[in-house]
Amino acid sequence: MAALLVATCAITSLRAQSVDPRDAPPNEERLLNTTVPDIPLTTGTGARATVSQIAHGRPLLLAFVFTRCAGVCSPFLTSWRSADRAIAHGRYLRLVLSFDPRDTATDMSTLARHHALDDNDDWTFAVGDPNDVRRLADATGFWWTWDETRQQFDHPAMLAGIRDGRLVRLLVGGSITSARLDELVREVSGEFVRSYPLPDRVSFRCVRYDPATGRTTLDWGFALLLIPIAATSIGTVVMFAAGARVRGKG
Amino acid sequence: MPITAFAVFLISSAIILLVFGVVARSTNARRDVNYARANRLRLLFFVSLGAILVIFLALTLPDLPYPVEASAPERIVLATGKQYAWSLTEGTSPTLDNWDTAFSPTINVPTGAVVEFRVTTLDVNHGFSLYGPDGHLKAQTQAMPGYVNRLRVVFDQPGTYTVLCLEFCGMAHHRMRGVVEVR
Amino acid sequence: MATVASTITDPGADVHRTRLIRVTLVWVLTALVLFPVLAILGLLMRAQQSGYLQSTPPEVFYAIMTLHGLGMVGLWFVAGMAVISVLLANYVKPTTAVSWIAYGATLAGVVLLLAATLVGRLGVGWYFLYPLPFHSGGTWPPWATASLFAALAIMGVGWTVWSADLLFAIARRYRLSHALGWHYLSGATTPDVPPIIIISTVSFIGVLAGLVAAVVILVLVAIEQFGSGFTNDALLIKNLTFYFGHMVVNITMYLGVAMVYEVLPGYTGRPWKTNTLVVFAWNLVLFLVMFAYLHHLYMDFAQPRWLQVTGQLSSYLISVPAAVVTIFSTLVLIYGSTMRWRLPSVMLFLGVMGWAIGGVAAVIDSTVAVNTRFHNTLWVPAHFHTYFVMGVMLMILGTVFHLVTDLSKVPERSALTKTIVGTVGLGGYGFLLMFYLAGVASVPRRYAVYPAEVAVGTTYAKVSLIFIAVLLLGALVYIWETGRRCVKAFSS
Repeated sequence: MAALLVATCAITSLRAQSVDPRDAPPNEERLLNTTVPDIPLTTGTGARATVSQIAHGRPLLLAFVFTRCAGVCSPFLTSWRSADRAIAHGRYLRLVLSFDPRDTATDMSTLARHHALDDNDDWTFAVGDPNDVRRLADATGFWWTWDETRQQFDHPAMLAGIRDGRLVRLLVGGSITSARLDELVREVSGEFVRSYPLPDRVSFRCVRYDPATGRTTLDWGFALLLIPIAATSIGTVVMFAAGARVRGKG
Repeated sequence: MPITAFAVFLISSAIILLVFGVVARSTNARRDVNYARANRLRLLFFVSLGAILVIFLALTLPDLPYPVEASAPERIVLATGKQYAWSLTEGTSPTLDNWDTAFSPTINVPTGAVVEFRVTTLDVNHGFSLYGPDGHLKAQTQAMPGYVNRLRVVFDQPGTYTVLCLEFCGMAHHRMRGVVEVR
Repeated sequence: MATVASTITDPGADVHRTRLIRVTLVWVLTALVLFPVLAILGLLMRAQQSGYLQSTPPEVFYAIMTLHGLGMVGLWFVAGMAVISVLLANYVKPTTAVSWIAYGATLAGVVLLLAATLVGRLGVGWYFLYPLPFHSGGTWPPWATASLFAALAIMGVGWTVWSADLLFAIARRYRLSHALGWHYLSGATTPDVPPIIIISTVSFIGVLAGLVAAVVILVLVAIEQFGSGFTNDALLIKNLTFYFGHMVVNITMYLGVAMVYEVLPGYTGRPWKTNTLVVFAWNLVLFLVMFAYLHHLYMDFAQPRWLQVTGQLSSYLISVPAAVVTIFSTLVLIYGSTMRWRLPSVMLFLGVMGWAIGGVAAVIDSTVAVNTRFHNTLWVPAHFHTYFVMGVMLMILGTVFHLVTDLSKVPERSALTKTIVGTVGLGGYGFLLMFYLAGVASVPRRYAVYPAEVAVGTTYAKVSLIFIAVLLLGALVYIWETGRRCVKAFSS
């Protein structure tokens, strides 16, 4: 639980101005469009292949975990899996990679079975050479540090969206909703979102990007645009009704 | 395209001038209007105008500057407007706090690459516009507070492209500029 | 008003009309004074763009630009309203006092705007796009922004009351279904409703909708300024701004067109009756004008795609009733008639032609694919100046001349007519052509100084100075001729 708190704190402290990049959440803007290394992996089934060979042309979503994690890893994987089932679309690879050198392919296979994802072509649980994993983590903004007192790694929870060997999006946070995942999947599948709002406190939004449909739809702020038509229509009808009364008297 | 549009405009204006001229001259000698004929002519005008508009709609609507599908761009440039400068960076975009140290007026991109500009603003509305080495407008999108607009551009010709502001933003609106070096 | 048969037989009507004419003459005289001043501001802007006023700082250019834009939009709107109220008085009874109230409100607004722009150097452009008024960058003080919004509020209230009163005047005589001519659609021809009533009804409803949109903007901005933790969506405000701005400008055009329907038949000797086509066209316009403004937001990628397509479709469609019904009918009305070519009829005729030419330029720019190259270049002022200078301005000024010549009984001098038409035509289209050419060359609008990339704009600005001078010359001759008739009519 403590690790979860540490991880979540690191993730949510968006305004942290610390010098150490590891205190800050992975920054999507800084990493956008960077090429990620195509490292060799050993999957939970014992097969050896590079990331691109496993992906086989598909875009992929990548998460880093470790099997002895007593914190965010398990709830994170659970929320990803349920969000993934909820949106039920998209041909893409879900890659879960261990960053703990102690983890073996068998450990990852056990983790997959624990989440009932062991017999699923879309999901791959894998380990890699520690140096390779480090390179991939650096390219996607993922980091970890060993906490001696708790005997646990501190690390963020994040999904990296990768398409054609480049980083497209980062989804940072321990809990994945279907709406957030859907937006990520569409983006990583090559759908072009030509405009998106910045996370501001805007009170009446005019339009809203709806991840569930992948469309921009009208938000209720747009209703304010109907006020002129509505007010004028009512005003006109009232005025002509009043005019009729004047005529009746005259 | 601007030349084609101007040609359409000139031809249409010439036709309008001609028709108005003919009608003005017709008042030299009084003649009765055959209203049945006028109405047939009106119908013909309606049909041909409708046909022209439908043809233009069919020609231009597929050419909307709003792509739905797009493969990964080769470069992503973060374009941020602020009174009165454009910042063009890769990696991180400047904020109001670190503008002076983090902003960059110039960016280099390779010829023929798909470049995506992620356009936003830190204060008022600006108009992100790319002017080619020939001084002609190549592409544009608005920079609106609270929104990031994504504009995809392929620079076929190498050279120096200028980013100007196409939405009036105050005293030094005309001095806002950025440079995209295409090599 | 010999050319138009009055349908009011009530004995008090003449007294009422005389009073209404007096206030309208005051409106017209004010407009005749303000028009050349605002036009000279335009000349100064082009001179600065030519590089002739190097010592003038750019913030002065932008303050002048704001005053020129707001001033001209407001001027032609109120001139259109004032003239149309007199023409409407042939059929209904607008309240003279309300016209005076609107006049007072407009004057107060003008004073506030003059202070904001000339003293405060407020430079926000005529549509004061949010949040620019609140980011002066040290150019203008907060009171100038407050003054702008106060001016808008005062004029907004005055104009709302005015439009409502004119609409209510129609409502006192006609049922709504008759005022919009719906009975013609079912084949009925009684009651006989003249086109001016139908077009005015459409226009006043449109104006009220536009002014309500302005009220919504003012309320939203006020909540943000005086409340806490409320941030406006810039996209929503932009939608509202162009809803308001496009509507007011567009309706001003329709007020001019209504004058053509009312005044031109008197010169051709043929009546212009309401028929099914006229009714259908103007009701379609009433519907489409609510959506046409969307073409101002094509370059806002955040706007949903279907709204952008709606913008192009409605902008294309709205040109059809204008061309097929109004413009075609004008030509049929004149063709082979015993047309009396006098200054008013020539101006109305040329105004319709300018409307057609400006309309073509507008439809071209309302094409999304073309707009990526033309948006906010000089093509935009090119097309709306065509509408205004060679369209609605000629229609309104032609009608004004018709009215004051009729009232003052001062006969027209044909040499002066030729001078006015020649100079305004040559100067007007020459000055517009420079805008169009610069637009094709991608020269941005609203630049005090042209940077090296678009230095060609300087050349076009220089050439346009000659044409503007010619245009101004014609305008001054017109103003002299009209002004003296106006004064004579007022004192008689």
